[in-house]
Amino acid sequence: MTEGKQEKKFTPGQLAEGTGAAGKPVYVAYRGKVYDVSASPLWEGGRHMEAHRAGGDLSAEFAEAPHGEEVFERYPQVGVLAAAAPSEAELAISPGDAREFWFRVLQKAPLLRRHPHPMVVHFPIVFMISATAFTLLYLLTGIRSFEVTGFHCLGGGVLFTPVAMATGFFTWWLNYLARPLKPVVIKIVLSPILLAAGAGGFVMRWQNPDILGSLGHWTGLVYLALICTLAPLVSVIGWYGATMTFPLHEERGP
Amino acid sequence: MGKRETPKQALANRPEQAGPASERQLPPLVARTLARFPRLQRYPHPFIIHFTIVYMLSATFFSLLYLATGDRSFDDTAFYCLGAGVLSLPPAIATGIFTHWLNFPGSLHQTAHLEKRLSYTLLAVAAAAFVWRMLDREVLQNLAGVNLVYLFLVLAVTPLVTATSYFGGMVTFPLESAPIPRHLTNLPNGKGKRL
Repeated sequence: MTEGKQEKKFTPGQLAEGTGAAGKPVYVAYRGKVYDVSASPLWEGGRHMEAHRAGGDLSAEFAEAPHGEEVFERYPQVGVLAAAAPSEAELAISPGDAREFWFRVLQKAPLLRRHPHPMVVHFPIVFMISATAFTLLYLLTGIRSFEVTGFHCLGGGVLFTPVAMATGFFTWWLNYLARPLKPVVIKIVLSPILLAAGAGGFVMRWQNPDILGSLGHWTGLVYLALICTLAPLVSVIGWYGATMTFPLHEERGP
Repeated sequence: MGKRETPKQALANRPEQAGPASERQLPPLVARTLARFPRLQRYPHPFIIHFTIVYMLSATFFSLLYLATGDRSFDDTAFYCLGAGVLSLPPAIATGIFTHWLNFPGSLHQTAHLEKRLSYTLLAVAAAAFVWRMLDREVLQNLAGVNLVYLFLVLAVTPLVTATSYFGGMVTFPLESAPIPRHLTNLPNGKGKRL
């Protein structure tokens, strides 16, 4: 924009008009600046990578982008985003000592802003899936060490699941204001079930190392059922986590 | 105002401003597949690397646990984890290259370059250790002389995979562009300033 020229101020409503639909321009806002990205083939139709929509402020979503903010240099800035009044939800929040404390921590260690949960969840996901996989591998091959590895993986999964739950709660409280988002609710419901199934299976196997040798007995069958539920349970939890980290919105209906 | 430029016209007029080359030159099969399954654009790599990271770290951890306890089953678990890590690494590298080709403009970002080089080193080190352990089951039991190299390889897997995933994490979650949540930037007492 020309130096000294009065910048156009976009209200959220005006910005939302820039959807690219019906010949309208494609506007996106980033860190208070509004850009016209109509010329970008990657924003054709007002959608980008099936993940982002035009007509909104992308500042928060940008953290997930696999490119830097230099991409905006290719497109004209057409104005600035008018400061919006805080939403009711934001006004309702009393930051309090806890959030102030964490704000200071985040200033010193920006890594904590997002990374702890995505880092920790690797472990329960892989260990729980491996517990199922190695146990089934044992049943298929009869090689005893596969069963023992399944048990070790189960132990790793049980150890790391509470840590993943704790960091997930922290991220939810800090970044999503503890709002009851659908993926979070599903994760909150399923994670304790996963932990209970994993811990139950671990204790059963700990007390009876030959439990899989007694598949004709109910305890062996219960143990096998518990182990076999781990992989689908953790997959569903991981899936909903992934939809939050890499949101891909479905097509709107006609 | 003149007639608005279509994206295709913009591409023809200013190719230097275009996005990823891959976006413009997708083979029809890839384009059709991605249109049908848009999640394939970004999900496969983050999903697969979960396995590589955890298996590689576990290979080191269980080997050390074996050395600490003498419990042979930990050595077996370390070996299986190493094998699973080696198996999962080529798909992780392949999906990483595909994701980058699809989503990044132009040439590889420096961080992604580093991640790629480290991945190849990790694959070489882990594969060598796996073959060694497969050929000599007692290698950690007779820990002397040349067998110390095996221990070094297994120990090297952890810093290698940590560094690789750290740089991968920086590509996915770049710190410099991660804004602090808005409710934390509006704290009283002037504390809430964007970093």
